[in-house]
Amino acid sequence: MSPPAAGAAATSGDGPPPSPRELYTIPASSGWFRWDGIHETERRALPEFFGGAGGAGFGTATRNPRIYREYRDFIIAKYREDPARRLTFTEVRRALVGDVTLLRKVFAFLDSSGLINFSASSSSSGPASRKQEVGVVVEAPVGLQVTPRPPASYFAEEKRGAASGEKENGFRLPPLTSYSDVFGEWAPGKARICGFCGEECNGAKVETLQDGFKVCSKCSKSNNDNNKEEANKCPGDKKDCMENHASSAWTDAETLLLLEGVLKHGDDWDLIAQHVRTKNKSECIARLIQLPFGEHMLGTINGKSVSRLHINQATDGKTNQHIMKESSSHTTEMADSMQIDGNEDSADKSVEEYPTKRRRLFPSMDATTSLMEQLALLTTTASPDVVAAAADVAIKVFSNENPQARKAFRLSEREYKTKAFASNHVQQIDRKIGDKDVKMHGQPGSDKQEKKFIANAYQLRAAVATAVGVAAARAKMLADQEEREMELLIASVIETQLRKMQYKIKHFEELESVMDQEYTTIQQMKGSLMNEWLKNFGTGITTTLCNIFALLYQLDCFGNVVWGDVASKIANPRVDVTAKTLVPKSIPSSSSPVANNLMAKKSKGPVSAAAADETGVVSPQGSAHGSEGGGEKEGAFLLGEPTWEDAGGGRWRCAETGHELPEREKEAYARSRACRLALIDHAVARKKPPLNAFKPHPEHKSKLVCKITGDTVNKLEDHIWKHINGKRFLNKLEKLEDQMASGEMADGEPVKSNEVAKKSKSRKKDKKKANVASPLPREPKPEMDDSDDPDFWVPPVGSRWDDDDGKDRWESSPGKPNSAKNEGGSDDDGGGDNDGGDEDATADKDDAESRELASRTKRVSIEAVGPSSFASRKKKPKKEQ
Amino acid sequence: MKTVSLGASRPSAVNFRMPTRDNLVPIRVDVEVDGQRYRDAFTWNPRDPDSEIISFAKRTAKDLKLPANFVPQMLQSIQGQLAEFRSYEGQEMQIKEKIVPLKIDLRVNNTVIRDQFLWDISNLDSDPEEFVRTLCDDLNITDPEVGPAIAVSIREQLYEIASQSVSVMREKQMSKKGRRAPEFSSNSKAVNNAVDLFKYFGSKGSVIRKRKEWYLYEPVVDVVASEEDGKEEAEEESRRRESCKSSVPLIDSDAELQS
Repeated sequence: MSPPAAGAAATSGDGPPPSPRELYTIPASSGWFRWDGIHETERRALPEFFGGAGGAGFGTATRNPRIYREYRDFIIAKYREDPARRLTFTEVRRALVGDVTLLRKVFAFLDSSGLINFSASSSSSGPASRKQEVGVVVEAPVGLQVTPRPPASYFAEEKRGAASGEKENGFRLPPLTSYSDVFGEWAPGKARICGFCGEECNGAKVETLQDGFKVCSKCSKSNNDNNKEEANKCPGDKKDCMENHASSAWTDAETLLLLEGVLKHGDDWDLIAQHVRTKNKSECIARLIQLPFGEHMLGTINGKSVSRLHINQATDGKTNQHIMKESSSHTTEMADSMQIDGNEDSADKSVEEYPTKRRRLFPSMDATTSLMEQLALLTTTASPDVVAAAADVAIKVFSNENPQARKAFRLSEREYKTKAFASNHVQQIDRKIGDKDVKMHGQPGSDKQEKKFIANAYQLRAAVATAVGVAAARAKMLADQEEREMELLIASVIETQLRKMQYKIKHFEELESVMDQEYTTIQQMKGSLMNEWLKNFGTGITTTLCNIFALLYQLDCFGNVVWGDVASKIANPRVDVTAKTLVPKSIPSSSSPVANNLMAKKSKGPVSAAAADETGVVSPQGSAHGSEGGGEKEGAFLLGEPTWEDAGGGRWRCAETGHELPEREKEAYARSRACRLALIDHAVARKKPPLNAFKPHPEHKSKLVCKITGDTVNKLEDHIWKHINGKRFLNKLEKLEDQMASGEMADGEPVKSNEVAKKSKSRKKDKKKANVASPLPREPKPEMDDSDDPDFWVPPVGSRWDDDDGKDRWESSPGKPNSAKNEGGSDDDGGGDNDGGDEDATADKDDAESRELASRTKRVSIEAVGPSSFASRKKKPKKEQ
Repeated sequence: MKTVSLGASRPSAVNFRMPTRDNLVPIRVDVEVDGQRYRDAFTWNPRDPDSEIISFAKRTAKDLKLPANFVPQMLQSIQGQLAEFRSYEGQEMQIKEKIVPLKIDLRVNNTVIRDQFLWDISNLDSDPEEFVRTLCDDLNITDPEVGPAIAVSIREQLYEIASQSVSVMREKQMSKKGRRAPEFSSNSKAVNNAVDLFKYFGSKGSVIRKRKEWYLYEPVVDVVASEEDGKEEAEEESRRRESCKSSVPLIDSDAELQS
């Protein structure tokens, strides 16, 4: 809509302004403005409306973008009604509802960003200004013109001192300076003050000059007469310096009086005004402020003594300045005359350029400051020796140039000798020259003086040359120094760079060495890995070989080997060695897995028990599972099948219950509840392990009481199984065994304890012996061995079950023939009757050997123990203790 | 008229302070000793040490060539007002978006100014002095005493509203304990005549005032000729004497709420 480009002419096409097709020229800087949108600039400038930091959050009732747009559009439209007139905030706010603070912010923003008041004349021509003409007669006391407006913080405190419209020039009034302190007595309501005499003219007529300056009738009369001595107060003079009419009204005498007064009375302005007499208090203050040092003085007005001190200084400065002014006018003349000589073009040129340079360096320096002063200043910056040398050289050059000059210098030298030189003698020379010039100017004419004048001219030239020479020397020195410094810096930079490079190289070297080290370590690791691998390979072979040797050894022992086993073991060395090695030994004829299964099912034969023990399978459970499958509860067939007797005619009788039934019903009956109960009763009555640990419950027919733990257990095989596998039971049993063991040790039966300590392996051996050669004396062992698990059968009281012998062992009746047969078979297989006899004969002798074997196998078994053997393994070490 | 708070204006409680950017307290001094009367109005920074008060009073007395026995009275007056202000400090006041009309009716020296404008109490960024400066610039009021007098008047009205909001807050808390919560219990004029925000700032309203109401919100400046000074002042004086006992007299001006 509004192209912000050249001229930035914006047409207010569809906006609210009343005349929709008007063309406005807005400043290019505000080209972003759109009637139909809110620009980012606006959002940033007025965050209150847009949920910014200043606002209480987005979209409060009175501050939201919609309200902002209404404000904005109204203000702009209002301005455009009459673009030539300056729109004021006060005009705007009467038409807008809302917080004036906020409105003022919006207005100020629009004003500053050039959306309003851009083409209005700077002087306000609002309706308000018309009224004002009547109102204020004297706008401000004369003194106020130079008074800066106090900073905002003081504005509130001394509102009466607020003089608007003065420019701020940065000095602060001391805290709590009252209005009258600074501005004198001024009551605007009371009377008008004459612009000339500064006196109040109560009731007197006031005349207004054409420039709007008021004068009291007295003064105006005197002006009209124009015959008074206050010539400098004439209107013409005043017109020249309208801004400074107050200062123009001051004569030098008055100024001096003022300074004296200040010196005498400090900041007591009433007294000062009295001292000056012709001026009132405020004028005095104004004058003092206008004096060049006024500001400086005001800044330290805190204490009277301090201010006095400053005024002293200031007065000195003032007079100095006057002197300077005088001398400067002369020196410029002198310089002109020198230029005519045209001897030293370059030097003169530099002299002429010099002031501007100085001015650039010290902007505070006046144009009126004398050339000589500057030269003097310059020379003081160099050391006196340098100046002296430069002066010498300059004089020499001059003398060479002109013999007259030499004479002149000689003359002056004589003069100088009479005076003592300070270190800054050149300055003094300059001063002297200046003074002399002044003097000479006073009375030109006589020859002698002319001569002197010429001499002085040369002296001046010499001085100027000296100064320039000094400056040049200094410049040269500085340049040299700079150059040296530059060289130094460059050298240091190069050095640093080099060092950096060196560091980098070093770093890379370090990195390389690290890499080398790593490489070697990796090589080493590789080698060691190789070695290890080889070693492992070797050990694998050796273990296999070991196994073979073990087998061979067994083969030696029993002269009997199942080659398939050996083969399988070699093929699969990690398989449980013990079981395999034992099986051939004990049942050499059978292929081991089948035999195991068979035995487990049929009975708890010693061999199977041993095997099971070694492999960690707890036999009742295993047997239960083996025979009944996974469907039954654990331990449900704890007691196995009932004992069948052939009743003839294809019928069988159960030994425990006396029940007769046909062959095909045997299975079903064996599972029946009646049969199981009868079996349990039978076993308990006969104290068959593991039920020898139980006795019938005295009250309940369907319950048993555990003798070891004293618990009551249901008369169910799985419950009994659970009980005897329970922790409580096992713990108690262990304790009992310990008791028993120690008791037997005391009995002097080391063999037995030995046997107990030794694991099932040896037991098995013994048991085998017992089976094969049962009538071995001194052996309570066989009984123990017969039971498959020591946990179960170890009786609480050793003597009690000793009577049982092997006969009525709970498994014996069905299993015994079988196992016996097996054993017999194995015996047959292994070495025939001979072997049996051999064994019988060597039974005793073998004891030690078997023990050794047992220990060895145990070692192996421990190595190769599986998780399933956990239960049995757990107690064995303890038992050994 | 009751304040209809729109959805977004949430009242929030802050510690008591002047609801302006500079926390300056308006102080009015009216002291009469031996037939001489000193009336003045200015603002004071409550953070300033109290030792400043005595030096201020001494200074003022010296500048105005008042007898020394004015000083203790001035001191007492200023200290009393500062103490009152400080008694509010530490209490909570409710800051809710609320726009109230402030009215100015002052006579300063020869200038009589009447004005009315809206002020947002919750705008803690407001600056009466700056506002007044703009006003004086716009109206070309050159009497340097007018602006500050207006500013003090604004501050006084804001102070009154703020202190009322403290008491409202307190009452609310009291009544909360008593399980009753009257929304507005103050009958103060200044509090209750808040602008109906919904009327102007709601979606149907317009923030542009009706043209016929403009004159109400326009500053009117009159300059009284100096001859009438004495008479007017005397009139005003007598009027004040009879009308009000409570309102604080001013040195040269008066701020009162028009009904």
